[in-house]
Amino acid sequence: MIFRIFCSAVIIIGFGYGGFVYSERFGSRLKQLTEFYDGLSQLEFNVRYMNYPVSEAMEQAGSVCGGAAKKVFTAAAEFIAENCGITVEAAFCKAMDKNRAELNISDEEAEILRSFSKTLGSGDRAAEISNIETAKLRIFAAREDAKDDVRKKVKMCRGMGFLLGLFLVILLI
Amino acid sequence: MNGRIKEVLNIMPENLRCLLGSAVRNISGNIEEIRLRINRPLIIGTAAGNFAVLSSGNVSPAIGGAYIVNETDIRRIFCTLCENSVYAHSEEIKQGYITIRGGHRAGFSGKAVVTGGRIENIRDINSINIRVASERIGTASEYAKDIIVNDCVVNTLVVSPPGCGKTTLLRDMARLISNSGIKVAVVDERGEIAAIYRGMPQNNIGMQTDVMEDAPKGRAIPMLLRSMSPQVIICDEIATEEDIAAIEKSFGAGVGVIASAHAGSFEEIKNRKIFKNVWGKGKFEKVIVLKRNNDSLSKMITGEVYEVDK
Repeated sequence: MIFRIFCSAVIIIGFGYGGFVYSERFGSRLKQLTEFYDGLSQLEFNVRYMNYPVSEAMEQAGSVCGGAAKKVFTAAAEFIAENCGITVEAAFCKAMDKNRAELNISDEEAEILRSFSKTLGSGDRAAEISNIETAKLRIFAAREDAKDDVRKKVKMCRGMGFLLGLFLVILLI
Repeated sequence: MNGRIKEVLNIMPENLRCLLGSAVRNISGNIEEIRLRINRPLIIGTAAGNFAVLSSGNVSPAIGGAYIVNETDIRRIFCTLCENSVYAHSEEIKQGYITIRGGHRAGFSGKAVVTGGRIENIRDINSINIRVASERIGTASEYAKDIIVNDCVVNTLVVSPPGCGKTTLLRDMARLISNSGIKVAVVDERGEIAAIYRGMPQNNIGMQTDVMEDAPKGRAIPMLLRSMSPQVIICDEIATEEDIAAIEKSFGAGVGVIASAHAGSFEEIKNRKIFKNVWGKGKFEKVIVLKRNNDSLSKMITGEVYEVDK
């Protein structure tokens, strides 16, 4: 009897923990989108007021954001600085690919970042700022969507975890 | 291979870097410029003459067998010159040159995009000319007794045609004057005198030298007079009435000026219209006219000193 209770508790807690872990990905996506937004804001400042070239602007942007965004901006800056002839787009895409395992954003959100890098560095200051502002707006919209996901799905996943565990216990009993 | 040449080769694509790396080892003497023109031979210029870079990496005074520069080479070099950031160099692009790390000036020509009579951009670049900057420490010593008299700096104008060493001489004058205990402010409009990189001068410009880079002289000189209390201001290429007006502010503040201008002779600069009010006591008192030194192995900058009142 005691053994059954113990096993039931383990199953329910185990599935509940699984639900918690699964729900973390929604929070992680929101956090990374916030980090990219912060990085883009710093990039805009670096271009608008400091007139840094792209490599330095990205390096500075990487220094103020955290997590995967920091790694992407910093890696892109390094690729541009050390590789004569590489385009900004190629460097940024290479940086995203290098950190793919840590990125927890959707394909559409990754595409927003890739397409922003396509014209980065090739226009005058006004065009650059317009490009960065457009990317920021799109990331902001994605972030709002991610917040909704957190609100709806985190509680659901956590609850579902425990319910699944309970369901399995009932089945087994 | 000296560090100066390496700085220039760093902006080249891999294929040209290897080729030029081999070619410069086959040239004795000072390399002054590297010229790239689409569908034409790659040329290295020295004081002793021009040499075509052969596809084998050797050099020759004749162009037979020379490496022919292509459009991809020009495009990749231009991207590197701009540091993949056209916006960061837009003002320089409108002037037709970009100064790279080390103070080397890369001039280019192509199709001008003109709006309202002003050049807004240059596209379809067809030629790039990279002038290799040289730092010749000690070259100003020959003129020390002319420019520093009784511990004061005499207002001096350095003139010559292009390529005779005006900027090189100004750079060493800044070092000489600054290290003698006089506060110097340099207006480095083209980034060639001090060659600042991330805040650090790449050239030796002296212990007591402040630098304002990339700012027009008309704006920079009043700022420096107000904020940095210089005893001497050094600036390159006086060419416009705005430049003259800024220099006259220095004269009026009792701050010494050493500057440079393009001219072929003392008479030519003395008679030039915009310079008519800058001669005499308290203004430019001496002129150093530089001459081209065709000895490619020589590190000397040859010139003659004229006293204005005489």
